[in-house]
Amino acid sequence: MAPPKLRAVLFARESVAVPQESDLVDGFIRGDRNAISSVFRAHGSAVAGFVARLGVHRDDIEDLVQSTFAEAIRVAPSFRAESSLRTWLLSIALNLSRAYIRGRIRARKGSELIEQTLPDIDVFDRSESPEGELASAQRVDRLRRALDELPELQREALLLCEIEDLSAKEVSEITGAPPSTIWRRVHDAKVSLRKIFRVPSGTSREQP
Amino acid sequence: MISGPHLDPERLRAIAAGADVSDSEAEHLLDCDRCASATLDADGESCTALDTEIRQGFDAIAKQPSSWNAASEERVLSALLLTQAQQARRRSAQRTGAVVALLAAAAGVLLVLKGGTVPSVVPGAPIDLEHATAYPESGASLTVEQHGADEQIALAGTATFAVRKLSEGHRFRVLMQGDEIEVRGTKFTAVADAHGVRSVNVEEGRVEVRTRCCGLHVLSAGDSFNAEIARRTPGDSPTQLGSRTEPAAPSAVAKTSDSAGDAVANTDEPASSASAQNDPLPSSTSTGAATDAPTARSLMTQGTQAFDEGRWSAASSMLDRAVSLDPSAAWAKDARVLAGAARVMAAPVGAVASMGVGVASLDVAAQQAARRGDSRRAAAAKLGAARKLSGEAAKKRWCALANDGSLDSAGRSEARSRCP
Repeated sequence: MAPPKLRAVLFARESVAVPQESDLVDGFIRGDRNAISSVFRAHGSAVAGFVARLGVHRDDIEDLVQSTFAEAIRVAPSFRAESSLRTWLLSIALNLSRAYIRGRIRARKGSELIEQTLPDIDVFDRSESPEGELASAQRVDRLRRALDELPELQREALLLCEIEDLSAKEVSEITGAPPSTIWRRVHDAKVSLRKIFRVPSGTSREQP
Repeated sequence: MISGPHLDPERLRAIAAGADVSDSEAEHLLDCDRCASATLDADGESCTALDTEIRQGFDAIAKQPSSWNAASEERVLSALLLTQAQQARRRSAQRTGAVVALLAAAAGVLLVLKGGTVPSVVPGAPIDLEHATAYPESGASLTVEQHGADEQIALAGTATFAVRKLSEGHRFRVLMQGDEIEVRGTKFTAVADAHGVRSVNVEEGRVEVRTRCCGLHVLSAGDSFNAEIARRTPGDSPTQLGSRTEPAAPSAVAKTSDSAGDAVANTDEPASSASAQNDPLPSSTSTGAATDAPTARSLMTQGTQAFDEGRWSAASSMLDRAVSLDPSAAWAKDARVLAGAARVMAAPVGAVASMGVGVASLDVAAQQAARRGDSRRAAAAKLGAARKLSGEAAKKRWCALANDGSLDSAGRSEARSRCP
């Protein structure tokens, strides 16, 4: 644990002025410590949430986040600021997470991976009634299992569009695929989800 | 902001039937729920309730808190800044060969790098050196110098080194104020202060300890060297913790000082004159002359000795008092570690894993317990230490424990479950 003084210098957000993103990018590219710290504080949590939802085990999230930013620092001079910092960082995180997840899939079943992304009961809005919480839990559990059945690229596209709430352009930048391809993946994923959701609910018709 | 105009119904039906979409249409469809839903309802059946349920599931997942927290942020940021400093140092060294100093702030570890050694640090985590991995404790200072195949680490404070098997002609040395440890493929913990080496514990391999005071000591796995004891008993080489049958001076105190130490620690009663004379730890409420009061340094020395002799309560009492008298001393951190280890050694085995002591203390206690044949305590301390770690350090620790034969099946099972 850092001595209090150092911690105050390094981590006291209140004492750090928030610069514009363009200034941060310039500083980040130069390797400026303050800029790196600011970028990390601004986007570290988002990257962590992103890799967690992609299926990175909770014990490995810090490693993945660190790897993401370390890689970003390494390749920063090639960053052309054509996309936002967040998009750029998520694209790096995605590539690293893919390699990580594929490695784990080789060793374990996919369901275990997705299980790691499952929210605990505390995820749910405490303003909900116990019945509401239960319904939320069941809903998430169902969705989790449904996502598990999707092909990797479809699941990825769906997470980026529906959960990360990124625009088509951003998802396209992150994945490197054109918007039409992204849409097709999302569309196919949604069709699959509908099919999966219909079956256990007992309300669906027979599929041709 | 929805991209572009809504698509007309005919076009949506065509897309729903499988027609390709353009990029601009795709951008709109990805942003516009209304049009996107229409493409899903190819068979004319609307699934509003189903889509709502799926949407609510997405929302719930989006609200999912990850294990990421402020502590994660501190750990990763510190590591990042150090990584960045390393890269800057590499670039700088390539250009100028300049000396670069890094402050591992969150770990409280001072690294001074000279030459070509490249560390990789996260708080409390290992530093990769050319020939070894160093595990510095908070407050440690390491100056790394690389002279070709000869790597020298100037150490103040406490650090554990796991040295890789060295090739012919390669050397790894730890220098402490003129004292020196040279190793060839081993794992050991060294403690240094302003006077040089204070103690060395060897876990694996062989170590040569060359001290100004006491000459050459060759230590093998399981051996320990304690400079204070070595100074008092010249020629006794090496000192082995736990192997001594007769306690070193003041031997007359050995059997009684433990309880005396407890009395000082746990009551406000002044110690008797006998214990004040004989016990290395006079009571803090003693009315004796000020000149008779123990100094922090002497308490530290005597506490260390009590620890070596297995007088755990006395050791923790003396070390705690030493720290309270001089909390800013260079050895204070080590004293805290040792005091914590002494408490672990004194506690019931069942309480060890959940004790509020640091990882370093648990590690020292695990070594001590193992040397003394107390395998249950050693296992409990190992597990307790692993549970306190996080990230990469925890991963490595759990994976090492996964095959640790000294753990019981439950311990190994826990370790395996936590080793990815």
